Amino acid sequence: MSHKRQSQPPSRAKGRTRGHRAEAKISRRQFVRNLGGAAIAASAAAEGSWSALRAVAYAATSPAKELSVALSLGPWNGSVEYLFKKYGEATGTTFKTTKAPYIEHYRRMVQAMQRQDASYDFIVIDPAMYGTIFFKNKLVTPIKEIDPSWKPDPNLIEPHIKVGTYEGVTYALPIVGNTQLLFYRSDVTRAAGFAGPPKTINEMIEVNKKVTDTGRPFYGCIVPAKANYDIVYTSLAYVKSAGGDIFATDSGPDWTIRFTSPESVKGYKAWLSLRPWSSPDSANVHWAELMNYILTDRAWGGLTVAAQVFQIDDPKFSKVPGKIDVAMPLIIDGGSGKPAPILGTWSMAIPLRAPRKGEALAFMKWALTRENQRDFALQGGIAVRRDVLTDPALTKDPKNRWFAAELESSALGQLRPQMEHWIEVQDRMVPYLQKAFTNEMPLVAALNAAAKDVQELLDRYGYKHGPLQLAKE
Amino acid sequence: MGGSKRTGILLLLPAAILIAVLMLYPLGHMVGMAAVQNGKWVLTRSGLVLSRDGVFWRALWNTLIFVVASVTAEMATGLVFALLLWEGRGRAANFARGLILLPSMLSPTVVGIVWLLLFYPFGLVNWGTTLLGLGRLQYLADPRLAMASVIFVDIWQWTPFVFIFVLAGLTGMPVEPREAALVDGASAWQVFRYITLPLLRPTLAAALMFRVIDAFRAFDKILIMTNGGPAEVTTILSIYLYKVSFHYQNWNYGALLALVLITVTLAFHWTYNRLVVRRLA
Repeated sequence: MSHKRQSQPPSRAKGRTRGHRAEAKISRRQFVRNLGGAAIAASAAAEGSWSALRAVAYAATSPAKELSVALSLGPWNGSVEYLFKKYGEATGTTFKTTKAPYIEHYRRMVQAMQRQDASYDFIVIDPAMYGTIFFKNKLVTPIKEIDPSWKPDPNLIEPHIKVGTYEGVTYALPIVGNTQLLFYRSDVTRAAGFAGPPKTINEMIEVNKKVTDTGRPFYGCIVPAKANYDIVYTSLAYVKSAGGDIFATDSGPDWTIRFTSPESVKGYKAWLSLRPWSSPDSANVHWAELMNYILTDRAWGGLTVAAQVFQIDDPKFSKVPGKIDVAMPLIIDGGSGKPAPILGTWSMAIPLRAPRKGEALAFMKWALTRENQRDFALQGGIAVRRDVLTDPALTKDPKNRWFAAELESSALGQLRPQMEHWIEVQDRMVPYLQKAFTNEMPLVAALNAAAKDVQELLDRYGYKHGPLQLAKE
Repeated sequence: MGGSKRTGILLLLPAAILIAVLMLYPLGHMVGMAAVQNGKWVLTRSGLVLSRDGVFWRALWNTLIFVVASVTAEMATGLVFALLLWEGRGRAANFARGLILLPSMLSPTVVGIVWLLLFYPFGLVNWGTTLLGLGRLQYLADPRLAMASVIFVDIWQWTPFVFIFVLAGLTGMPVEPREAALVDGASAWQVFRYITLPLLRPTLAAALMFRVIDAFRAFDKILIMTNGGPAEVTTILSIYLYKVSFHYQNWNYGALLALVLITVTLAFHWTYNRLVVRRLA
């Protein structure tokens, strides 16, 4: 309560001392001030905009220090909500959260932002997948427009900022440093005679051979290849490490198809080379099922998102607590020489019509300070700061053994194409990658067929591109 | 007469308004969405895109395979079960009837999850096939098996619907023609072929129509089990429509796909009405 009083604007505190209703959530003056926005609403409503009306209704009726947030349901929700609670205790701010499963959240956010809805003060989005829809169309507010003096803290891991930046303008700040990590059974690896996790695809094949040769149904590195984005997301790490890519540039303007280039074909071949040791149902396996194989002692490991890390030591989920470790994604021999983890960062963005942009940004900046990121990490969150992921007080705890890999992976984090129609492009690629994966089609033929489909999409939506170079055997 | 006509109209009015508001308005809105985007006429362009859209044609073909295969099997299996349990008496028959009805009481989402787990490489189905020496099959991951597997699950869930429909038809059937045929020395097959089946035709026709319309709308189970994969073999129109609308946010094209789906269903309904129902009437 004392925090609340301290952080209230003077006018509000004064109002209370005069004997105004102590229990009122907002003062009369605040209410009148909020209603001032009614003028804006009236003009916008005259243009047929419901969103402005909603904005004023929300601002006038909600408590003065409430932030409305939209979240996608995910294993990281608890740690983010911990930050809301902590911020609330410090400032008196309350958080009204709206949660939905991934696709539903995405659909709601796109629709809400397109109609310039003002129901949310900030939204947590997956910018690598669909952020460009918001950034390119300016449906969310550039951070510098709210605070011209804002600069990214040098300790924030740069690729996490980059994923929320479009054409040099930062629209979203990271909150969950989700990136790709290789989850694997450390005990099984050691028992098979290996000193550590494989670093290259060839080493991975050697590990696969050894760990599956046990006489019990135990698979090697699971390759998730379900008819959804996992198949594109996972294979892209191999393609990029081989020096290939989906398009000539990640952010345009040259959208010439490159997943048929010799480097990309090499990457896809490396990805397919793991198939013999993956579970036989891999064409219907996605990240949750992949983790299930590892957690139930049925597979050695697999490449998936860091957000899964919360399960590895929890006996509620894992039959092998303490025996799962994480490492960097694999390097494709003869490629770029580096692993290419694909970013899956969750970021916070402020809608164009958000009623409390300043307050929302204040929270976002607060959440990214060292102290709060540290607490966030202690609650199981995936920190986005270098100084937290290298903090000796945290890294000495065995349950944080994944911090080093997460830092390295984030620092090398790769973008997915920053284009509005990326989801549609992926959906065009999925069936062909699956056909290659299930041997329905030779890889090169599948990539060429996918390329023709994607090229048709690029033409339909007017993306600039060079001539299509088909893949060769 | 005029008064009674007016009363009739007045009595029909609430239902007519309800239908107009709840059915015709959304339908009209959907047509509008398909035809106009940001004040511009886009139907012609969308139609051209549709005609060249390979995914759409694959989805349409998959839909037809799914509908024909699942409904045919459901009709046959439902009829067989109903004939077997029609005259059954006692606890065992009642228990069997209840058991058969069980799958149709489950939500398609639950059915999708249950069968996803049953088809899992370490699930019950593969355990059974391993015991039989057939090894583990990838029911939902193998492009050669995936469509058959989702059709099987649909049959599992909706055979009870046909069963209860046919059972009701059989129960309400007059006994005299069958008794007379038996007295005249007709075999069981002849009784079924020439008496029972013709008398059941209206019931079967209605059940078939309901099932076909419902099968065209199949969605949730398939989305959960395969998400339209592998390699698009289980992408039916409703799945594609969902992806276009909700993943790509292309509401205009999604509305066009919905119109196609409705048109295909209505075309079936119209043809079926002309060819079957009117003849029966």
